[in-house]
Amino acid sequence: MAIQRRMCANHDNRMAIGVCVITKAPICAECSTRYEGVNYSKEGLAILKKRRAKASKAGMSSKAVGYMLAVVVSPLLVYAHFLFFEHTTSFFIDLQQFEFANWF
Amino acid sequence: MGTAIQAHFETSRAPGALSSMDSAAEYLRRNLAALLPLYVVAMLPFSAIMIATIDFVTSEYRAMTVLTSWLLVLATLWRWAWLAFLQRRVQTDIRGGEPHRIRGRLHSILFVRLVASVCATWGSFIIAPGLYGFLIGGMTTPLYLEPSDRPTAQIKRVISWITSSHMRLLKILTSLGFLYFISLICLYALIRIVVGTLLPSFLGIDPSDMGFTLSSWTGILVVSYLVGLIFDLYWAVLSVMIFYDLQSRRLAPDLRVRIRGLRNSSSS
Repeated sequence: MAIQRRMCANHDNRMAIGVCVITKAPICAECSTRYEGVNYSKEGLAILKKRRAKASKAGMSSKAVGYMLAVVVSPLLVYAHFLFFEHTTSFFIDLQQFEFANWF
Repeated sequence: MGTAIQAHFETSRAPGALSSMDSAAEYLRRNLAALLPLYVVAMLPFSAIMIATIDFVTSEYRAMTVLTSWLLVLATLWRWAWLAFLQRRVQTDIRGGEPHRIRGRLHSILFVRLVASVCATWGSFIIAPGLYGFLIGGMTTPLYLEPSDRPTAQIKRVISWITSSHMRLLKILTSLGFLYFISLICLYALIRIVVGTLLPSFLGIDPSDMGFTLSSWTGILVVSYLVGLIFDLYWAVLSVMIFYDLQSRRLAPDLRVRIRGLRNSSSS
């Protein structure tokens, strides 16, 4: 897609060198900040910062939910494990008492 | 063009399904001395409690089953923690460079192993969860020590790898089960020959008590457990090999897939 306006959005007398990936505004060399390989305007960078902070907050809260869930679920899993060992042990005791000769 | 691609396809086959088993056996042969101390530390409490449990089972001492089951759960957690260190060593040898930090990730590894183990035990009644649980349990350490995505995303990715390579993994598990039973029968036959023929004929020892113990439930269960220990160590190494095998098949440019794509495009 061609850049419609070739002058900088902030400086009418300067040629734009690119477009901000967030605001889509044409920007000159002075207004452009190259970050992670792409051009951002000052406003674009501010929006990116806000988005990242929000994502990190959401990540932290999902991590906290994950930990809470693990704390709640872990005792149940340990108990399920205990039940498995207990049932297996009882099964082997019953198996010894089982008279195979009568079964046939 | 088509012929050339066909010829190239014939000579550039990916490693077979059992190549991971060969790599694991070769790795164990070379590094057994380094791995054995870690494995002994991991298995010592578990084995002691397991032998005691076998004794209680054969003496039909039902009252002790609750206590030994709780002790087995604790010993299992200890075992997983030390197996994580063992698998980290295998992973470091495969990847090269510095070993990854295990502190801070151990609780996640133990949690995932708990979930996987519950799937492998209780879920085995409907087969598929049992297989997934068994495989993920083995691959948890290499998975969590690889610095990459969020843990849930990593688990999802490994599940998709297992699903897409299910035939390959079934071949490995079937071979492993077959090898276990063959080893069990061979070892049991060997012990019976030693006890029944060699000891009385050459050393003049009366092994009737030993023979009675071996043919009892205690003998059968202890021999099965001892053979199981060898395969457990082998599986700890093999699961790391399988993890990297699956990863390379999914993420690396797989030559077979590219050649198949070329062949399809040239024929269409």
